[in-house]
Amino acid sequence: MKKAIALILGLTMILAGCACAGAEEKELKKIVFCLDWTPNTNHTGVYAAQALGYYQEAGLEVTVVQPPEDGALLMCAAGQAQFAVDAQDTMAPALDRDVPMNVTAVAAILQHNTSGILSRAGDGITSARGLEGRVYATWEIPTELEMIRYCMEKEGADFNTVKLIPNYITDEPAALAARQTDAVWVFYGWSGIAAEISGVDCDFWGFASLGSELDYYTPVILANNDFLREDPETAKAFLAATAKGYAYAVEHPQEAAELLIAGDTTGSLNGSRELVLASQQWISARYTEEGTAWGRFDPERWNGFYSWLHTNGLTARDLAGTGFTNDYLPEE
Amino acid sequence: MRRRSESIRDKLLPAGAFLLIVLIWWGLSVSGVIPDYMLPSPVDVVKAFIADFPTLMSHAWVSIEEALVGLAIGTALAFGLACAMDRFLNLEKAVLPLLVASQTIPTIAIAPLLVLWMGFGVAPKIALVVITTFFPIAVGLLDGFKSADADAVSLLRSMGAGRWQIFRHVKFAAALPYFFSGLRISASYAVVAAVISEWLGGFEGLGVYMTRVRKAYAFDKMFAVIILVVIVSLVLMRLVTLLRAVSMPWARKERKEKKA
Repeated sequence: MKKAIALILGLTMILAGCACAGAEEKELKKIVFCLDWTPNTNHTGVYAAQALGYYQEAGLEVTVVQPPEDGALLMCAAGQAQFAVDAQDTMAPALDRDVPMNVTAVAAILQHNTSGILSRAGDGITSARGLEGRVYATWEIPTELEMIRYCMEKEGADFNTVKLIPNYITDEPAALAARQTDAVWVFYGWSGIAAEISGVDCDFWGFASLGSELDYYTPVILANNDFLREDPETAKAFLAATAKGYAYAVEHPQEAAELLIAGDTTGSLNGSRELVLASQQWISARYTEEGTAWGRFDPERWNGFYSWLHTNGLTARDLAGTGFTNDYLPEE
Repeated sequence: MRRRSESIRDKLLPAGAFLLIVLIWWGLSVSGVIPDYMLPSPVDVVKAFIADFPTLMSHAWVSIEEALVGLAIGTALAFGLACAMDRFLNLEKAVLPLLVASQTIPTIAIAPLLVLWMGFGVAPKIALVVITTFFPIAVGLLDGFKSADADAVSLLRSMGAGRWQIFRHVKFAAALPYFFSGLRISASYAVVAAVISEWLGGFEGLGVYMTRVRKAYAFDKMFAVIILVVIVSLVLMRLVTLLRAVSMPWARKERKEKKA
């Protein structure tokens, strides 16, 4: 079997070599990009850059892969992928160890935390206080629960009155309509928009609105530290091409959404065209902030959240100042 | 004398192999060839196991309870259905292919559905254990009933034995070894099935705890859970072997006679 594969690979290489001999001497650098989840509008810039040939122009051959469950960061740390998608909150435990894991956040996909609590309209959960006595579907992540407790206490409400149930929900608006739960954590750009187009009348409040310490970066692009050290030029080339992809998505939401759908080889977006288009319209306006370039971290905001984690006992170390860099992004 | 040295060797060999594997494992992680997030060192795992012991135990009881209740219900159901299939040939023809097909359904796919149908409590978890443990016992028993000596059945019938008497004295006795083989397999699956069912939601149990420490990238703790699952499963299998020895004293005697 191995011999057969080697033979086929060998033949392919010879053929490929013949086909482009003389035309292009430069070999493409292979990059593996690991998503955090099935393809969605967080990833549009990467799919746009791929489809529009930005990566190829930069001398890169990019393969987009899906992670095992919660495994994107690990794939990147292990060097199976040079880049991966994760978020500032979920990467904290990976940094909070004797030997921090071998990854650094190199670009912010969205400038602000667009997550928050979705509930049925009319139930009065328009702010953290409204959760008192309500059912909340939780993933049971310590940071998640502490954030809700913190927001409720800020508004003078008692977190202990919240009834927690396990969250295995995949379609949040439908779960709310079916009264499986009263409230659930969502990312507005996907599930909030899904609620809008599904016609389930919903309320939403975002964590970022309750204080800049909760306005952390989600999602972000991570890179493997060894790769960054050994080949910074390729890392920069990748991020420059990716930035171009996101810039395209900002300018042309409709076309970029079509590129995402066309580029999705997993089939998970089949039948969700309306949602993808609507989500893209909303999220394209949030890839960049007015006047700034895509991908930049504001150190104050990054560190503010990590200090908040430490102050609230969620990390053993104060991670402020660690885990991110702007050094590989294109110059402004 | 010869036999004793043989039995010592039988015990030394697996223990030696186990030690060798642990030693290689330890060497790989201490030398830094494999980073701790790929494979934590056995020392860290043991430390985590000890430090985490009270937490591990409180979660373990939940999983063990689900596994035992599920295994008991699965065994009872398997027994009932195997008897019915043995009694009514048409039932066997109708149901057996479905049973076999049901075993090819991936558990991970039906587990979320079970939660939808039965809620967040222990019910869907027990149901999953029942589904997993039921099949090896049912099939084992059915084969056992069929293995009953036809001459013995004829003899008893010629002596005027009823269906029940034939079942009790010939078929049931013939099926017992098969039953225990099935039960042993089911017991080894039961704890794992309970753990898998807990991955999908819940607040207690080894599966829930496993997901939690995995998300925190605490791999030493995750391996401690894995070791506990292995230990619990082995104990459960050992219990089945003991139960078999108690319920079939003649088998032990026969084996001894064969050896002698």
